[in-house]
Amino acid sequence: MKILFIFFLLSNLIFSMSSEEILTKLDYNMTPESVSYSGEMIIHREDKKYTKKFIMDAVGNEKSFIVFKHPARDRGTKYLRNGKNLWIYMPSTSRTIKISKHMLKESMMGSDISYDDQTDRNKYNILYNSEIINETPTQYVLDLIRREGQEAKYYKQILWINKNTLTIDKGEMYANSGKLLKEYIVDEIKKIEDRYYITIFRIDDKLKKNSYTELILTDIKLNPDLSESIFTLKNLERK
Amino acid sequence: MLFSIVFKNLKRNKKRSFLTILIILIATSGMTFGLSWIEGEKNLFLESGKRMTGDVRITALDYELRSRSLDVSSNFSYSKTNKVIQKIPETNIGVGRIRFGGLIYYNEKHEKAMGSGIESKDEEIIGFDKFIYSGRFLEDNNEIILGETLKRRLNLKLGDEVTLLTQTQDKSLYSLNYDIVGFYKMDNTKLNKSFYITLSSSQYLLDMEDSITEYLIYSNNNENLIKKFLTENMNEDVLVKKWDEIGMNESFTQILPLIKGIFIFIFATLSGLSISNTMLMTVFERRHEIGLLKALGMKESEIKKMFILEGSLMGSIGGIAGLVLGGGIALYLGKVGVNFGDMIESFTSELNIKGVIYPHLTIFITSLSLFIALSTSILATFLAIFSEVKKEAVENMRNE
Repeated sequence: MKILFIFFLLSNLIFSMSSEEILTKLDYNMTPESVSYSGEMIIHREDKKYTKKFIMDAVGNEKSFIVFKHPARDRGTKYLRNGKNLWIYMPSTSRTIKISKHMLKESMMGSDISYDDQTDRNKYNILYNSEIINETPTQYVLDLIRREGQEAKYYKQILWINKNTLTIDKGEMYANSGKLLKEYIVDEIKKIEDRYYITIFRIDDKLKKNSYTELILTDIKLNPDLSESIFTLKNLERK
Repeated sequence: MLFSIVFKNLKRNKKRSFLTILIILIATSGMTFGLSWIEGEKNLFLESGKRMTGDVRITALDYELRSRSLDVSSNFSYSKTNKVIQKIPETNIGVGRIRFGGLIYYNEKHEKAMGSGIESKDEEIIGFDKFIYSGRFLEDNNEIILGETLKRRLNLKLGDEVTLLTQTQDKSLYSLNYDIVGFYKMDNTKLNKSFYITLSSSQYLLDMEDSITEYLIYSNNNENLIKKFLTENMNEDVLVKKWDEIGMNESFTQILPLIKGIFIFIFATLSGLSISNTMLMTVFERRHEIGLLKALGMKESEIKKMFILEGSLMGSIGGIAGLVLGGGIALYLGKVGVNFGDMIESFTSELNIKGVIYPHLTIFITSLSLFIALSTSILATFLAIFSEVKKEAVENMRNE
């Protein structure tokens, strides 16, 4: 019996991961060098449901390009993110408009997802100091606090990380004041190549009443070869 | 007989009579003009407020809270509302509106601005015939009219195409291009950083289909009957309010009677006291004369009558002259106005009020001023003469 107990203790010490190691694995799964997918955004507000469809290409930390395909009213609307700059092109006016930096926190297309949530691809391990605050047989619970000097979207996050896949099951995003801003719940994870990638999740903006947004990702390509020319104003304005 | 003595008395000491009448004149003219001024201020705020809100306004239940953040998701059906409005028995004009915020882009410049989607009937209701100084009112859905401040800041001219970017009711960003067909200059310069497009264009821009944020009903002072009808016939998802129950109008209508009452009290007291003081002095100065008249055999009642007649005559002359002077000034300034520049405009950016006050003379003010001039003249004379005639003639003469 004693031998068995010592074995478990040792295996726990040997196989348990630090919070940094968990985040490194998580970053590996969630932020490949480049990604391309089709997205379906279902916005639930009060008793109404709005569906929007788009295609997204992203490379590196802060370069992304989104083209909306549905509904007809939004078809052809494009977003280009490059660093902290965000431009929007609207076919209704054939005009490119630069969105102010403070607008990055605003809702994207009326959803609970901000422009920053959708286009920022910085890694958790770089942005946050972390600590394991709880552990269950299936999950690690990590407390993340923004590192000094880093421009993370949220001051604090609590993440429930799946031990098997090392992806997020649930997340809570907090302001500096301690106020809960958003809740993030993952409904589906798929193994693509050697990574576990989130394919269906919900975001609930706690500052909005009776509203949440579902995001369904399909046609996911990890590390595709994306040309630099995609992430240019010229491409944004191409009809 | 008594009248001729009264006239003789007034003529006997012309300086004294003139001074007494002058004091009554100044007090009455001051009161007439002061009250006309207050009336002018009241009209300025309330009529401007009513023009912006209609006699009765229909909104969604949470509109007042959400409209502060320019959230157009607080809306209701235009066509359903119109159907109910058509059944109102009282004559009225109804207009649907959408108020929203947006960014106007021209070349590399942009400006934040308040916008409204309006109907063709609004040209007359808002008074664009007076405010548009260049171009014309909206005729088509791709047209926009802009305030003078936006024109200046973005360096715009008629025929230019601007892009209007805004958040739709589901919070998506959306933009449309518009041709500028007119520029306006409102009375309140703060409202010149705004723009107007047609109601149907704003419904498309904001993705609101048949919806509006406000329905305003203009009637000939039938707001109580219309509100009652709408409360009984509209569904429970909307809020029906009379013009004096809305925002700033509500505060004004509550506070204005109080302010008016305080000013009437101040003007009436000051005028009454100055007239009373003059009349008392006039009587006291003539105590010797009262004693002499009594010694010569004149009855107490005759002396009282004589003095009261003198007092009422001076009160009438001074009061009427004061009314002519104060009323004349009020009527003249009521036409040309008194300009206070930005002082009044800075008071509110909600109402289209200019920094000009037009004093307003009413029958009530005329009657009140004349009544106070006459009544205080008679009352003060009566009080002074009453105690004097009770004394012995010798005592009257000794006290000179």
